[in-house]
Amino acid sequence: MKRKLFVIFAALLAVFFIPGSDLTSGCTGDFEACAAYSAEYSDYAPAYNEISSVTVNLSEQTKSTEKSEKKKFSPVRSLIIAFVISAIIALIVVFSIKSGLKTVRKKYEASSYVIKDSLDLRENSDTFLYKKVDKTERSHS
Amino acid sequence: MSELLEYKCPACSGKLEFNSGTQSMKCPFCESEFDIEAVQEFNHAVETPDENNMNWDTSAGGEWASGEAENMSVYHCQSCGAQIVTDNTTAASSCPYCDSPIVMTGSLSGDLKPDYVIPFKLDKEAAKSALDKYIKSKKLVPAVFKQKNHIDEIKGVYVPMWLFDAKADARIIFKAKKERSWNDDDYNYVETSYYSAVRAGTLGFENVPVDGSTKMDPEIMESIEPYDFKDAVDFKTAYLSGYLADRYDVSAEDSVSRANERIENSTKAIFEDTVKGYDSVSTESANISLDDGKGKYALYPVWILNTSWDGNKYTFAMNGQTGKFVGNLPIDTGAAIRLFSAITAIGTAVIFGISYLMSR
Repeated sequence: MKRKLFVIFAALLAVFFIPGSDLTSGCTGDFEACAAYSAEYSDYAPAYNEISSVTVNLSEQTKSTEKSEKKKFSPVRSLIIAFVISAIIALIVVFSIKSGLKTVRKKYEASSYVIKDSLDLRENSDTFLYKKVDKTERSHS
Repeated sequence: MSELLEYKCPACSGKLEFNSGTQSMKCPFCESEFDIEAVQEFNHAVETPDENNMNWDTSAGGEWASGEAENMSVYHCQSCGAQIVTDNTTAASSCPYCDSPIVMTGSLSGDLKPDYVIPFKLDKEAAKSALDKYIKSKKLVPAVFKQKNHIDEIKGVYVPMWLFDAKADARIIFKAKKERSWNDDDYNYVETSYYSAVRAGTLGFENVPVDGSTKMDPEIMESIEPYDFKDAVDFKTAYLSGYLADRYDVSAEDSVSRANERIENSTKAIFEDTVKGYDSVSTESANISLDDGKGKYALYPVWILNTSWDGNKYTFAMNGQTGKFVGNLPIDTGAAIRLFSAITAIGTAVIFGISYLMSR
């Protein structure tokens, strides 16, 4: 649909702007000149009118198609997605409540028993070793 | 005979070779290049470290004074084997660990006398109230469990603990990374810089507790930590009046490995915190030794309730000094399923409704 519109538009542009085109070559002056011109080339007028009306129809059709595409709502798909998201949230909630029921935990450290300010560092050095650069090509869409 | 010197690659541990073109050390395996001084420092730092040296003086506890032990009675549980000690004025009828009847077997003799005791600060009413509040605050606990947990049977027990003091002397090497990224029209770039961070020094620990009773789950005792040793007093039998005390059956020597593990992990974590300004830090090697390591024997106060439900045993414990309460609770599977279904149903309706309205 869009391709048809584009072709017609391109044809219109070509008709109007290609040098030597009969429809444009004569109509450079004032209104009377244009009117005389179009009277001379009146054979083209019906064709032009037809094309322009087709163009209008096509653009109206495109708008209504876009509207109908927007309006096309799939209830089954939406329901499935809504169900999956809700189920994941429900699982997170239930597991977090369940984990709150277990408060007995092994301690891996003794940080509560460190003597305050007892840390005494006698060696504190950072040495640079090497550098590595990785490059990945960017995708150009 | 001359000694052959080898330098290891910090990236892949391959043997480095001197590259005369760049006047630096190059790894033929991963093709990384390093400054000579940096390689010498790195290899010196990671030279095979000594084994961890963790020695303890475990001569904790004292001897009973004349007449002291005669005031104490020992009860034996024939069901779980627990040996409960209390003073002669306190009647003990059931085991605090398995709730079975206990029988008096004799007086306390031959045991070590505790060095310290932290007396109970919270009474039985406080413990019952804490237990009640704890269970009621939890969701998805079976209603029957909430009702039938015989809260009155909560008991105050002094649990034997080995307390360890030590000065950790550590030398730890960390591998640290910094990342920088940028891009141009054609490529994305990530530059990673690698560093070796050496930290060596000492860190002091005091009163690191280890459970001295096999009857008391060590995870429960660790969960109700910490205890504040400032409230500890020299042991006197009078503190046991009205309470039970568990007899230790794990020696100080057998407890040191647990203390070593906790001290080692804490030392590594604290030293790692001093390595700042990097995007990631990992431990390359650690050598930790303990100086002035010694143990003490103390009794720590705990309110305990053992209960069973649906064929499983549940233990609740409250720190008798700070009131911290722990205990694993059962889950009502039916209630969990109902909650899951309700959230799913409501969520589905809401999300579906929103997507329908947005489509109009």
